[in-house]
Amino acid sequence: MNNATPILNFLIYWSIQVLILRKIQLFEVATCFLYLNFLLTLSKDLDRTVLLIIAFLLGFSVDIFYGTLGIHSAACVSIAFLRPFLLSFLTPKDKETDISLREMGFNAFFTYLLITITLHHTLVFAIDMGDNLLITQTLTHIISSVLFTFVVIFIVQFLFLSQRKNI
Amino acid sequence: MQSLLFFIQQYRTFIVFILLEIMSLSMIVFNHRYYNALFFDTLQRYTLNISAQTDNVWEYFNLKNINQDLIEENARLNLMLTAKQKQIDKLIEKNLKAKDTLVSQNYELVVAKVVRQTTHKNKNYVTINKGSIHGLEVGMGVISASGLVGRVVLVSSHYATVISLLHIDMSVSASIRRNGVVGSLQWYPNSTLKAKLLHVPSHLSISVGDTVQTSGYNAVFPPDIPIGIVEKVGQKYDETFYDVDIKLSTHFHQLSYVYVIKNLLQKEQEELEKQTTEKIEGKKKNE
Repeated sequence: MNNATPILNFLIYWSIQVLILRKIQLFEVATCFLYLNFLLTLSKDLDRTVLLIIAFLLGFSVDIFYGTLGIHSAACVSIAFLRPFLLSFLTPKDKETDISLREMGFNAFFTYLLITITLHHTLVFAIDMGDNLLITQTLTHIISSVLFTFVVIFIVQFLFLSQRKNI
Repeated sequence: MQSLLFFIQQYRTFIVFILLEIMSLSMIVFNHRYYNALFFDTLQRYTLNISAQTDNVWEYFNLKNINQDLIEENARLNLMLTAKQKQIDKLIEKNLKAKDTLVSQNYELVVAKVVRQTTHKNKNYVTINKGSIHGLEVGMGVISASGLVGRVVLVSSHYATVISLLHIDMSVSASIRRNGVVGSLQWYPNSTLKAKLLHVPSHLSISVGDTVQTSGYNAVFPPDIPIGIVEKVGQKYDETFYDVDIKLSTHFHQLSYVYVIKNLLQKEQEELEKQTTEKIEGKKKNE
């Protein structure tokens, strides 16, 4: 059961992303990439190489549905590569901690989330822009989407937080 | 091997990261039109550049073959050129004949190419590439497009030597075109393109700039062939002849084609003159 949880999580996040969130574009600018929450909250013990491969598969599976082959993969692999370095700054080294709002505390999690999401969204939208050079529009997309994803992930985290407290 | 495995083991995360990124980027390149164009255009530009550079180097190795080819082509073209030149010669000859018949039936021109010539000696000769089989004979006059050249002195079967006007023993009967004053033209050495007109009596009018031409008083040259222009007219106090300097009009330094004059009636004229002298001499003897 314990082993199957991440796979189940993967499928849940992926389904939500491609079935529901794909259709939602807030104010015609903001997109939510909730699936990042899966990648960002994977256990710290996980081997880095495995993490990279999971990130690639996740990005690729999302890409297939978004019709942007390679873009999400590249962005996901980038933040998966960056993740351990960020966490080594933001979490105590000796202590085993889960990566969540509850475990890390607000400040650390906020910083962690902001940096990774911004990087991811910037990469996705910048690569997607290509030669259009609609810079203002792309910047609007990036900032609004970062806010949207950020808020949604925080809400999910709060939900989990309350859930665990209840349990 | 051990160290290689160790290296891979140590940096496997980074290697996997790079590999996955490459996979992602290649997917982007292959699936997005702009990146596809960008990537392959850039690639093509660089590869073209490189192939141009290598071509440059390889060309040096081919130079020998290219040289050989060029030499062969050169030979072939030269052959063609000579064939064409022969045709042109024939045409010129024909043309001249036609032109000449309008002027007078007496003269016929043979086109010849100058093979060798000198201008710097006291006795200069010109060698031409036509000989007895072309109908040349000793004593014929030779002219060029720009003026008088000389007389044939020796003939072999394919070549002939011409005593140039630039020869101290050569003299030509000449006249001034404007008024028909006749004199004898003699080149004087060490001055390539200058000659003197001798035996012009000082009571006749002659001035700088007059054109000097052949007089037509001998059977060698037809009349009205240009020789030169009067450059200086001098008169010494106690002499009865002018001292006339003439600038020769013939471009002796760049002679290429010349025309040998065949006077068809030369023999007849000479025969008549000979008979005349003989008859009168004979009469004198008889008396």
